[in-house]
Amino acid sequence: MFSVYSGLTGFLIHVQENPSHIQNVPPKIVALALLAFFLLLMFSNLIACLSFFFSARDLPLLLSLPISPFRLYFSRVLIALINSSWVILLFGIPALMAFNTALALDWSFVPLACLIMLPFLLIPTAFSSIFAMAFVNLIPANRIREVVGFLVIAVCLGAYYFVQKIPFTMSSQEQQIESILSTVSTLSNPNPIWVPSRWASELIGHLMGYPSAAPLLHALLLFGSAAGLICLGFLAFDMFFMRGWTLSLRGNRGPRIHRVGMLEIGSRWIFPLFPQFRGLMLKECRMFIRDTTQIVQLMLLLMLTFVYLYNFKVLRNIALTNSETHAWWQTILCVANISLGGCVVAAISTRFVYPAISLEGQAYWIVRSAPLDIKSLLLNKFWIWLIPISSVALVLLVAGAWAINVTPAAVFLSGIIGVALSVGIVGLGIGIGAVYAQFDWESPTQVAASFGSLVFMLLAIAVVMISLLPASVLIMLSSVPGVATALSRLDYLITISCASFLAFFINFCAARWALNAGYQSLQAMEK
Amino acid sequence: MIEIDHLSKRYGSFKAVDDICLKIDRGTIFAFLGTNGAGKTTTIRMMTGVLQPTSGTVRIGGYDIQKNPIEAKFLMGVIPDRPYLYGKLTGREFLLFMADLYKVKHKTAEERIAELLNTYGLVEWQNDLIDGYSHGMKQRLLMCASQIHDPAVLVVDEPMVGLDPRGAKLLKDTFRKRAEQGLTIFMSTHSLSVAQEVADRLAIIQKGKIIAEGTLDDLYEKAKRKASDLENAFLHIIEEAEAEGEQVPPEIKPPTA
Repeated sequence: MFSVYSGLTGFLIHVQENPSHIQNVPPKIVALALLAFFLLLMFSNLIACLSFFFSARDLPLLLSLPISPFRLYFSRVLIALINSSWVILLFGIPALMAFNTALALDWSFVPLACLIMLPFLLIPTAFSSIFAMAFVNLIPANRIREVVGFLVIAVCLGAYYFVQKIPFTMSSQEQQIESILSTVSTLSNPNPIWVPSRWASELIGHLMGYPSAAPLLHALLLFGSAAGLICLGFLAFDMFFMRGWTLSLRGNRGPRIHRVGMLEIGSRWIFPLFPQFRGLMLKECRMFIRDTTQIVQLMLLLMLTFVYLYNFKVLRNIALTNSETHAWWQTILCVANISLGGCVVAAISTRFVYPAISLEGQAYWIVRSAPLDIKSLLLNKFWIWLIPISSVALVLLVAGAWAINVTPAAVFLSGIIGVALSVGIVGLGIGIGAVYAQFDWESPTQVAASFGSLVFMLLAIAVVMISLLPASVLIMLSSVPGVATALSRLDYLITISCASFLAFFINFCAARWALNAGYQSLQAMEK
Repeated sequence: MIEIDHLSKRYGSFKAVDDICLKIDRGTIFAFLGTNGAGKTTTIRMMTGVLQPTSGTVRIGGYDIQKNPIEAKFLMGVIPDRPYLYGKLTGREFLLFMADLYKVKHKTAEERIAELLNTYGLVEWQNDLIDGYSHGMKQRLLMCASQIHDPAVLVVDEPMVGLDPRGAKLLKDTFRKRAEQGLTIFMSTHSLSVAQEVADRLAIIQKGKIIAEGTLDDLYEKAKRKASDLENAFLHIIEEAEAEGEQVPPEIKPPTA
């Protein structure tokens, strides 16, 4: 939080010191940030509402108690709101304080901006509650996976449309921060007029001293929409919840599954000597595929990956730079690709790897009473998740490096670093997930949105940043011709080997430390 | 087959289990009786290696559950009081998962799964997700799972919860049959009629201490032959312990005339 505050304050002060034509940058930054937040909130609220309204464990008890529908609806909305929005508030408030300090605004700015944020956060939750009612009532339980698959494609197309709408281009002259700020300042508000992030950004901009054309209209739209959607949500809940709940229970019986999948046959051939690993892997895969909330979260993964790779396409323009600085720019971008790709992998792991231990849930006794010690359990989970996560990291980093036309050696080394980062991130995910294990969750989304997941995310980003040191050396050696030729063949090989070893060593240490901490924590639970 | 030696578990100053000693031979059905909160489940959790004792040891087939947990757990099947399972797996998939955890060869596992599903009447439900099972069906699936690796010891916490009369009879018959084949069964229960019907030996635990142990006749004798069935013997022994200074939780106090 302090880093957000100090970093943003410094950046905004730098912006303030620039020429007058880029003075309207702060509200544009708010507009871009709110648009990103709005998309994220829509996603997390959709998952949270489906989960809290229809698959939470406490629902059978709550429905048997004399609780009015009004109270039940608002309690569910409140839980979904808190679960989906707390991270945005955690980082949003220091960001608003940074604007207050840097722009020397009135003391009332932060409280008023928070007041504006309230309906902004509530709108996605209320909308998602209506969506959840429609979704469960209209879609037969045995067709949910197909519909979610369709939604994944629709969301990707939507994201593609959105990213294309942002008029961002890069030329050889726009390499300095002022030029980038200048580009931002010339953007029209990237939020369409009908999106709540537009209304909120206009109002916050107004408070910052950048007058909006119709602040009252925007306030009316924002607060009115929040109130209207909540009322509509309650009406939908009152009319359709019980029907949807009954349908979702019928869905629990599910289809009969007779198939012996390729996964089962393949795993028997591939891991004949590791039956415990095979058993745990098959169980994880099956439960993941059959859990609708997990599948919905895949949308987030796909969209994140898609937007990331699309953004890197823009960087092909690096070819326009002159030949003297070309290799250096490629090195910088390749290192940026590693750091950003690492952060994307960390974000994906927050959703899937971090909850891996907690998702054993009340059935944790099964693995504990089986002949499998805690260390083996953690290690098995580590290997199970290392395979898909390192595959994602490989695709992201290799595709990113390839997109900016670096040398084949740099592409190869980016892949190696991707695998090294995966070791650290997956180890941290399993280990920190065990430290903050909660087996009595009401809904799986609760685990991914907990305090522990934030700790994991911050640690994972720290490991990515530390790993950038050997990564930079590797990329520089492989993509800047002058550097490589200045070294003898032996020195070159020694440096490459040492840097590769260091990259793996940093991540191995992080994974080992986290897995040990997780082991100690799970063992302490048995005392 | 099961040796419990001076086993204790303390939570601060509270003694959940207080210095208990038991020795159970191969092929014995042992019923562990007690009031609510007496320490039955804590004892079972220490026996199965999911809770560390404050002091004392538990040996299963000669293996100390603390020092050689893997070897001990290979000999043991466990059925907890509440059937928490992986709802997104089918019954058959869950049994295959358990077989993998206990390193049972695939061919053997398939044969045993077919046999166990047949015994416990789950053949028709084997390809349904566990989420759709009733409480009793989950309990029966757990019975299958606990025997997938042909254990030497079966530890069962409240075996009759959720079972219909047919399921309960099936379980009692299976227990007797398997015990005759050499399986040692440690069974914690509130159901005194079940204990009376199937148990070879019994123990009563109260406030973490064993207050009576032996065969059914031994318990009647301890109850000074005032009892005509186990229920009365149990209540009499509890009353005696209470008279000796032990306090019984009010909700299970026998009604006074």
